[in-house]
Amino acid sequence: MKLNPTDMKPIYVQIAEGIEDDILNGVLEEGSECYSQYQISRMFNINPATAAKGINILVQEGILYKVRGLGMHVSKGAKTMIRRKRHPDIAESARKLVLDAEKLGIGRDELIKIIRDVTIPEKEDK
Amino acid sequence: MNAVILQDLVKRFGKKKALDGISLELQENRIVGLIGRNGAGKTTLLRTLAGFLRPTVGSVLVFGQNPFDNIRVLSDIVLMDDERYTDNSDLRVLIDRAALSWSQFDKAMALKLLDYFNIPVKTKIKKLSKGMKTLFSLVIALLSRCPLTLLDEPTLGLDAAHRKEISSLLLKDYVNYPRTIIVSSHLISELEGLMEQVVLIDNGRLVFHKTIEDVQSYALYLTGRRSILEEQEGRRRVIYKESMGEMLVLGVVNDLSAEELRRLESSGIEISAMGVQDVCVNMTRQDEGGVLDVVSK
Repeated sequence: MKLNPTDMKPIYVQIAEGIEDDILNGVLEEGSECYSQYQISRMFNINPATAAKGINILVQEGILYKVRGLGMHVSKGAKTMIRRKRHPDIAESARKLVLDAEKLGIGRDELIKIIRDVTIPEKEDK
Repeated sequence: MNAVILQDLVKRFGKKKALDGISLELQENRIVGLIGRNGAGKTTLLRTLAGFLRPTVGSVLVFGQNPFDNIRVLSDIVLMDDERYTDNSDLRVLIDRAALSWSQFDKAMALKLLDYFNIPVKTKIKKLSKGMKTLFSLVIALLSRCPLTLLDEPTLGLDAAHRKEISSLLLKDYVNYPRTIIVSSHLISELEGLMEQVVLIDNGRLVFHKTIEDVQSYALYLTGRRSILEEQEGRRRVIYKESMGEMLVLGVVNDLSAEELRRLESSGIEISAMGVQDVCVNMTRQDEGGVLDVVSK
C-alpha cells in the first residue's frame, strides 16, 4: 500500500484501493485482521479521520467488516468482490495503453502481440 | 459544536486592514490548516483567536465566548508564538509558567521531548537557534493540550528530519488527546496529510474553506498543444498559465466531466491533479506578471 499526494484520486480513495490491492495480492488474507485507522494514520502521517473514511468505503461495500473489540477484518469472498468491482478498471488502463501506443506509432494488432509476449516472472511461493 | 465562529472580522492596524471581513465556522476536534502567503493575515487571525487582539469590527467566538481579555476561555486556548517570550528567561522558568497557565500541561512529557531534541532546559530562550526556538514553543503549546491549540508556523526554521518528526508528534498527540488544532503555514507539504480542512486567506480575506479532499480535486493541470488548449481557456476558470513554444500548461478549476476529460486525453492532452500546495499558491498569486517580469526589465 502506498499513497501519492499528487494523484487525481483523493487520499481516502487511495487508502481504500491500497487495502484492496493488499487483499488481492495476499498481504491481507480473507478472515484476517485489516489495518486499523490509527495504524494507517501513523504509517503515512495522515489524519485518522481520512484513514477512517477509506476504511468505511470498504465496510459499506462489505469488503471489510467490524468485529466488536477486535477491529476491522477482511470478509470472506472479499477478493471476488474486489475483482468484480475493479474489472472495468482494466478497460480504462487499456485505453491509456492504446493512446500511448498510438503516440509511438504502434497499431492495435502490434500492441496485442506485445501483450501476448509479455513475460512475468513466476511468483515465489511463500 | 463549533470551536470557532468568526463574523465579518476586521482588524485594522492604523490604515492597514490586516483582516478584512472574515466569516468562518470551525467544528470541534479537527486539525485545520490556515494557509496564506507572507502578510496574508495568518498571525493576526491566530492572535485574535487567542484573545491577544481586539477585533476592530465583527465578532469572534471561541467555544461560544469572546476570547478578548476573557479569563474563563483563555485557559482553554494556547497560541504557539515566539513573540510571547519577550523576557530572556531560562527555559525551566518558562516551563513552570506553562504549568501554571494550563492545568492539563504535561510537564514530564515536555521535559522528555526537550531532552530528545537536545534542548537543555538551563539555557536562556534567546540563546536558542531559530529552529530550537520553534521546537521549544511547539512542545510547550502541544503539551498544554488546550481544547483550542493554535500553532503559528510550527515548522519554521526546522530541518527536514525535524519537520517529519514534528508531524508525527502532532498526529500522535492529537489522536491521544483530540482537540481543535489550527496550524498556520505558508507551506503545506509535510503537514498536508494531517489536515482535515484548509482555510486559505489572502490579503486579509477568506479565499476558501474546504475539506482537504475538495482542495485536492479543486483544480487540474492540462498540458499539451496550444491549438487544442486555447479553446479550453475561454470556457474554464484559469488560475495558472505558462507556455513554452507550442506547448501550453493551463491550470483550471476542475468542473470537467469524465467524458470531457477522456476526450481531452484522447487528443493528446496530459491531465494531472494540481495538488493542495499548488492550488493554494495559484489561488493567491498576484495578478500581473511575476518576479521574473521584475528582474528581466
